[in-house]
Amino acid sequence: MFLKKSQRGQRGSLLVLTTIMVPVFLVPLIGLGIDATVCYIVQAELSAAVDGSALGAGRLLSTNANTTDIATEFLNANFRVGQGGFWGAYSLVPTISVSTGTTKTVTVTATASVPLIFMRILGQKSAPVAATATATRRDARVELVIDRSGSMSDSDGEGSTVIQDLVTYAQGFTEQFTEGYDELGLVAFSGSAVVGYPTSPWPASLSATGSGGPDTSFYSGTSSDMVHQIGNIQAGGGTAMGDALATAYVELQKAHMRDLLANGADTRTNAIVLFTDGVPSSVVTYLNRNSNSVISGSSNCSYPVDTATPTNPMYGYIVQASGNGNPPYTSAWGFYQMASLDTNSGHTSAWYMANPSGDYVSPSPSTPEKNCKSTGWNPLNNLSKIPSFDKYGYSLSPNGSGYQLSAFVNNPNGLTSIYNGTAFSTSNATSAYQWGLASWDEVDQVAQAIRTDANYANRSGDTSPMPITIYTVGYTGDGGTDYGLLEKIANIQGCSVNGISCYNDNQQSGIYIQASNKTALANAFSVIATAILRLSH
Amino acid sequence: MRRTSRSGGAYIELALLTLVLVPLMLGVISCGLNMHLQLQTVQLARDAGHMFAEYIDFTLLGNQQVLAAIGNTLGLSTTAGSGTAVVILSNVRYVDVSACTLAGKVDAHGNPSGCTNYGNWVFSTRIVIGNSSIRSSNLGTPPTSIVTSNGTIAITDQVTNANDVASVTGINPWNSTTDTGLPSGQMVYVAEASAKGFHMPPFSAGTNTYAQVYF
Repeated sequence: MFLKKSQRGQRGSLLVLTTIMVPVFLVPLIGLGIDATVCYIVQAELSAAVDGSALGAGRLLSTNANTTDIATEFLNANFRVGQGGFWGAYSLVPTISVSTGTTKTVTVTATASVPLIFMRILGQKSAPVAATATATRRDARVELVIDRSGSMSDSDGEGSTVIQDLVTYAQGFTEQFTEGYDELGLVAFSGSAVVGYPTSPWPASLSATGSGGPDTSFYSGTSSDMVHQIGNIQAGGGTAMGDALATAYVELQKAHMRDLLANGADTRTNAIVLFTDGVPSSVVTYLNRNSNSVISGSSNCSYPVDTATPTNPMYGYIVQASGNGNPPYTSAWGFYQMASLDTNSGHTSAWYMANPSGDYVSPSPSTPEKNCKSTGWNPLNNLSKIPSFDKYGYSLSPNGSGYQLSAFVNNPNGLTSIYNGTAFSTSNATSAYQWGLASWDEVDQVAQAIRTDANYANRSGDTSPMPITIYTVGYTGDGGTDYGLLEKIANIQGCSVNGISCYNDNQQSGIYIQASNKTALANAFSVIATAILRLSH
Repeated sequence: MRRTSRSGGAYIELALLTLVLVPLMLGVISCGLNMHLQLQTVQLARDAGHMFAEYIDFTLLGNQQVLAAIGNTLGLSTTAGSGTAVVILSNVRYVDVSACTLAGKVDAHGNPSGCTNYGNWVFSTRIVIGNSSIRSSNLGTPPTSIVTSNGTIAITDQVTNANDVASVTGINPWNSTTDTGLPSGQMVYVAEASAKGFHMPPFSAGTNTYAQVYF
């Protein structure tokens, strides 16, 4: 029953052992863990700081910012050596490298020393941590598409007109891009569309492989630069949204092919920024298209069917309107000159900026319409039906039932959608409602072609499709617009109109911003510029 | 009697050891948990700022839910005033002549006139996600009356409202002599995150974690 001598010798050994183990083993082990965790936290903080520095500086690539300087400022602001929260880290050493070209890269690497609390007992006073981040920004190519229809002359309720506000903010938008690096172009539209910048060659080619397109001299200070051209814009006429988007697409392709041929590659970010204060009210047509003429046999037209290679094409636009210009449309008529086809040498791009209704005249030359009936040239009296395609070949009735993703906001006529339940039909060539549906579908089809770069296969020598993002701004301060249409044009994520999804995740997705006053309009342009100038990965 | 005193010795040893080991273990646990929270807070601020600078619209519930999922372990909620964490997103700009011009606060010569915030950093956007009572921003807080539903602040308020001035350090405005600093018209994106710390007196006072990143 008595303990053996050896057992008696073990009494109190646990206390002794623990007394030795705690300072010799346990505390250093815990200290090592704490030191390691501190290092890990500082590492995470340095990673975040470097990340912020790279993105902050990368966002400013292609601006006049000194990239190395601004990256260092962001890094020092994010990782505040000597201040609380950074565990006494010191000796922050940044290394910043910048690569230039169309695709610009900024790489930020930083190292710092973390003081150790426990491990210094073993002679290790600090530990190094390091982090690296890279941001890339591609130069932008932007086509600004501006609605300058008659309603843009309305007061903004704050002492100026909507067109004056738009000019101010569009100029500010333009100035956010970097002359010499980014490429910008301008399309203004009323009854039809016209290229506002560049101003030469003139008239602007409607071929995707023609010369012209957005360029880097948009803010050169000359009277014909883009900022000045925007300043010359006056309001009047209709809303040829489809023609405007189609023209913008052609302009982007021109610049793309130009750069591709010059550099062997084109890596720019492509964007179209569409501003409108209204809804489509014009369709550009090719009425006697060889394969799809809609000229009736009783029209007496001398050229009811054009040749396969357009010789006497009946190009022009047809407008739809009501008493106040908003749907439901009560009348459709025409036939008017497309500004882009105006051969009058005095009607330059600058002239068209100042003369919004310069295209509100009969097409010239008038030869294609020779002997067509009616007083003057009114195509609706000569048509057997509404054409299936617009001037560019975009379908006016893709699903045969009419555009149904329409949702008006602030429509003074109280209509909620261009679609009233009556399906689209080409058979009633004089129906303003049917022409309205056609104009909506024209816009939608052009936008879809842009987002998918549908013309890629037709660009000889091109090596890869152009990803083009469309941004839309709908101004509601002077009447109505169609947010359903504008959301679908931009293909915004999660878009749903009238219970139908309008988002296609296989296509480029942009932003739609609705602006009800001049402040919101300024913000819209600012947000879109930021979105375009954001970094790519 | 001798056997009884021997067996009691083990209990005394255990009691003595417990006095040392239990506080040590609790201290280690609380310290570790707080460090873990701080690490998560840094990551939350980084991710939020990253997305914010990439123009993710955090006024949309869907995007807030993405952020809430990232900050789930910190207790970040999309319901205002709820949860145990907060993310504060700010856009700040420097009010120079071009900002004054944008607001129409210049005289006939283009000099600032009535542009009372000239020379200051100001908020142009403020979005708060989560429980704002956890912590306020290091940059300051613009009055809620001037922040619109989409988080933006009108240019007029930016250049004239004294309460919209932000406390920004470390980033310099554009200096045309040295060609350094933030170019005119450009914004700084700031993400701040904070979460309620682990509370276990006397080992951990529950001090809130905090992280801030400029993009």
